[in-house]
Amino acid sequence: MATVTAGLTLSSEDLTSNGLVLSTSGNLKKAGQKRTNLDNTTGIARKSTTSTDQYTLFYADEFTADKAHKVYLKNTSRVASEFFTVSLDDEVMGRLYAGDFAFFPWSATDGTKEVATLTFTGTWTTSDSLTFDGVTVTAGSGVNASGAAMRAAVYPNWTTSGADADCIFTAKKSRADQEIDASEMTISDASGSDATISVATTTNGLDDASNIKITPSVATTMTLEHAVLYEL
Amino acid sequence: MATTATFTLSTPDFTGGGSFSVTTTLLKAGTSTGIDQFTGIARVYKDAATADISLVAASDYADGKSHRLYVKNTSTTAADTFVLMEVGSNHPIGRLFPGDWMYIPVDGTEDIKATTSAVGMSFEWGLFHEG
Repeated sequence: MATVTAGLTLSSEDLTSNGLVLSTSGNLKKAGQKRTNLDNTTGIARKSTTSTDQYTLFYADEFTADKAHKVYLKNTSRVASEFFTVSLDDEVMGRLYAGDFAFFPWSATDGTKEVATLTFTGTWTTSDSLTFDGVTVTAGSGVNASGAAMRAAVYPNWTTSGADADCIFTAKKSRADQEIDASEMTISDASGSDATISVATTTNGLDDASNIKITPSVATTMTLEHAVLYEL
Repeated sequence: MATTATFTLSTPDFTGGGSFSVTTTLLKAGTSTGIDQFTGIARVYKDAATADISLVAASDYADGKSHRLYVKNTSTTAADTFVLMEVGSNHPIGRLFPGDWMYIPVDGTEDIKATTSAVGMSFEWGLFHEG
């Protein structure tokens, strides 16, 4: 079993009159366990950006909620004025200026995945097709066969389930910006057979409450060093 | 003023890795001037599980700065007890189990609160700040 020890030393000769040395260290254990160490890591990695657009560094729903995960972040910049704003979903935690690091526990609280049901209606033939999420699916002969074809395809951002003429799409990630409707599905009705669909949202998606989001302060190259130590 | 923070991560049998160390000087936001204010290290003990213990009230500190918060769960309670750290409107950061610590930047726009999950828990904390 991996042993992982994290330590912090805070020291100053002149912040307080007698100087300050605070040192702490401990093994990183799994939640609620005294002897079992954290045994997974993403490894120390770096991400460079050239934009001030906010991005999601870690998606909470890729980790188990309410465990003893630990996150490490460091701003590798050498320009004093450059910083990353670190947020938990839409709550700003703080700014990491050049050279600063952070190490903190992470709840990885889940959000809600969008769920929508596509239903094939009208008349569908094998010369028709439907495009969604960048994937074009050739229809089957009839609405049930078309539903089956839609469910059998693989999508970048969605998983599928359902039966008969239905294809239930469930988002792979919890996001608030994935509302889908019929306008995002393109029908190619090559047979002119009145191929139609309906789309109904079953569950509205919400961002993970604990997604770790990063906003660089400048559009020149900035590099964030990061890692998660986690448990399943 | 020169205050430094050193983080070490030792993983001798974790993916074959050795130790990892980072040291930084605590500077004021966007400058090369050292942080010059400090709350000191406070120790908090709670007889009962207690919600929303205020550590950083955003209204007490300047916004958009480079404050740093240190917190350690010093409890000797059961392994499944924890100090839940939250930012803003009870947005969870994470759970500090006994012995765990954290060191985070705080920019002064959101409150930071702690909730103890069981009786007889304690933690220590300190804020390095710009006022």
